[in-house]
Amino acid sequence: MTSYDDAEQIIFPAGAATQTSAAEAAKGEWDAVIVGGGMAGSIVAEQLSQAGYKVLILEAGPGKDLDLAEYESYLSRFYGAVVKDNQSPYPFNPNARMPRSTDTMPVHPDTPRDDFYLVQEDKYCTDTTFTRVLGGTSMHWEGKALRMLPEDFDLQTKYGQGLNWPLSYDDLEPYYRQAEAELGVAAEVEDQTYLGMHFPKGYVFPMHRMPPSYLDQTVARGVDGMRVNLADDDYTLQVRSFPQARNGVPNAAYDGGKGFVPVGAVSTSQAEEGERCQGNTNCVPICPVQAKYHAGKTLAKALRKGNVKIVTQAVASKVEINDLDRRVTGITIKNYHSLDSDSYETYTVKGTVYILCAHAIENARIMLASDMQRMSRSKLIGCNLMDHAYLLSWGLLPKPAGTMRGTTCTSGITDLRGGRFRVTQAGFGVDIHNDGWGWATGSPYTDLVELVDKRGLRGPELRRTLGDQISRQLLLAFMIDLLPDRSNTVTVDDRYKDAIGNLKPVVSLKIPPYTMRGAAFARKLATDIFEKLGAEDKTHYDEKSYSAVEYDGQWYNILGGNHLAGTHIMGTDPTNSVVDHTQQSWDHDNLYLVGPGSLPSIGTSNISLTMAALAFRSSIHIARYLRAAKAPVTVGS
Amino acid sequence: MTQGPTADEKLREFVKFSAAVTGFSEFDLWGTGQAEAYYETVVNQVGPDAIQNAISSDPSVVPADPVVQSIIKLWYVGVWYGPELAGRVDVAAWTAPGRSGAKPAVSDDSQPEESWNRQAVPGQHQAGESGAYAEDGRKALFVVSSEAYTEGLLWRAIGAHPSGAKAPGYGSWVNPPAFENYQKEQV
Repeated sequence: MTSYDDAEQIIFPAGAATQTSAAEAAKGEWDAVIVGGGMAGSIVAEQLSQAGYKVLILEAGPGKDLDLAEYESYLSRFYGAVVKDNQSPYPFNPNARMPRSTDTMPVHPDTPRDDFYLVQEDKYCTDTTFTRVLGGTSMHWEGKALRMLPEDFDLQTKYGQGLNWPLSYDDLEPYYRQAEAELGVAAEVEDQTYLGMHFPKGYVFPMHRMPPSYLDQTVARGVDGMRVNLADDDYTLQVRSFPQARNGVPNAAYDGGKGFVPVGAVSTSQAEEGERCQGNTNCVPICPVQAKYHAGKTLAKALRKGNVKIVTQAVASKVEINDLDRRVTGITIKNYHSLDSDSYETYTVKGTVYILCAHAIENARIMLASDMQRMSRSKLIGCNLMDHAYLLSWGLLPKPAGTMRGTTCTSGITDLRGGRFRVTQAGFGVDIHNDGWGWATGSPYTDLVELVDKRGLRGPELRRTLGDQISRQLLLAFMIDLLPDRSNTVTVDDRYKDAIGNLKPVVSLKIPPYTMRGAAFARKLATDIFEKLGAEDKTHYDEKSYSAVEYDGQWYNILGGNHLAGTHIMGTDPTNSVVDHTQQSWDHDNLYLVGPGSLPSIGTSNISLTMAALAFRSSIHIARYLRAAKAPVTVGS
Repeated sequence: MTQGPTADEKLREFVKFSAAVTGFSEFDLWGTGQAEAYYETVVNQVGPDAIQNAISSDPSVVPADPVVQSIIKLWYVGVWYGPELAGRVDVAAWTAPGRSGAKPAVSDDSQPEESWNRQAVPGQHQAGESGAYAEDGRKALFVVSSEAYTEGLLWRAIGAHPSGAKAPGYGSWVNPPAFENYQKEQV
């Protein structure tokens, strides 16, 4: 196999996902019990497995052996689904539900229990989602893999906003590289060296950047060199390629000239898939060919040594704690029999160390349902919920630009991610969407209905008009920073339970003026860009929508980014944070909370790469903890 | 005694009519492999008489027979939007692939074909109206099959490929879009 043409095929050991039952797992004593088989959980499992530890992964969702047949059943479900939202490939599961944008609505105590998972009682509701199947939200993530900016780590010191991290960019830099290798990131260092981001001399990304789309090139002709003045500083804009966790052309210079072998499709047998991205334009909700990284790729590696076991359909319901020493003594799970029945058995599994990797909302939900806030010195479990605030602007370009081809997004504008203006308003990144107005309007199907039903077109005229109209679509998605705010929360409420009696997460998220100042600026910038490109602005916001936010007399629609973070932030002491810089709980010695919930701020980068880097870093500390805990006891004098 | 048209003749007539209203050739339509399934869908949903009426309706009249509109959309995206859903852009929004977000709220279910059986079309659900399905098993909205989605003509019309299928290959997106020269196409 030459490393430049082929991807490494990843064999998932047949039967690995069923080797251990919940009942057997509960009889054993594990070194580490991990809750959640997504990106963070898989990385920690793989790292601890390498260090020789016995690891149990508890996955709330379904997932048999990761084979091509199962993956393709997701794809087939997506093709056949009437509602093709970002959870449509994954089976409906009343026992471990996922939020769906289709059920975003203000909930009241008398709203039928089956109509929703995320409980939102406010007028403003976020349509944010996460996925509960083996592999987690990495199954449906888009694959953007941006680093955070150096200034994002000390926003408070620099700009008097948000919170400082207990870590710096330089502390995390080696782990960013490790994450870029694991996820297989395609990018060029010269594109990514901006706003202080730096790389060690000679570093190259594992693969070359995704080629910018024809649409990107069209936008660049108008945007490159555009000047913007913001808070007395001048910024020059340019269209820039985004780093992506997606297989492309390996960089021969990687790792001192050793090159990089991309990781292909995961299956229980040899599968000729998962090589280079083919341009399916379907990163969300599922990459049909596994060119995009998903946690199954890491999980398959974790299973190679045989010391990692998985129990699926096991919902962590309670963290058991010894009130005297506050150590975790077990995780109680509800192991349901099938997706069609609400019958389950309860078990408690035990280990030396416990690691919650169930994503920001579920980690908080499990801890709050276990009444752990009473032991928290900071009282911050579930507080500081964050997600990027998305504002969309869309217009019609003067000429066909090839919209609806490529990966979902290949390039954007990143020059306003950082700068002194962050004293007063939020920074943002801009995505150029290769999939047209779909996110905003439901194009291209809505165009079809407009033209056929409302304008009465048919035959060659219909065909021509569709081609002309859709290929000219430009959608700019502004991903705006949302700062940590104690009053943005995940809580639980006894009135809201799921089918097997677990408490549902109650979410309250408000979009503050700091973010809206960024949104208003973004909207103005969009109209300037459209003017420069000769594009007709087609944007309209619906003030009746649950996503409507008023700012300065104007209505905007602020959508969720599925970049949930902040519910167990890391900090410098037990009174200002839930975990320390290693993601170890301040209040429970043998508990680690690994995931985006630990991020004290999210800046303007999609959270996954940073979460992965932190997971690698924490794995070292967890292994160290286990080494100490399992060392022979020396009897003191 | 004269025989009526055979089943095969009816199917051919349906495809010929479909070619005229979609702007694609009969070869294109047969090539999707969906002709039989679509004909059967239309017959089951609106009955054979309604097809005959649609086929013989005056194509210059706007708005057209809603059954004709349903047939066009069926070929373009593989979704049966019943005549009662004509003009429902909100319904179309949810059925389109791609990121959801700024769309109207609808009921949750990962098996939407079945959910619409029990519940409602988007927009109606909120108002608590009755479901979009009649007692006789007719359905207002469904994807005919997984293949119907990937065989949609819409994607060819826009110089692209169905989202999530028939990928054009690494880096293909760099070049300007190519539209098939449909105007010269002859049956």
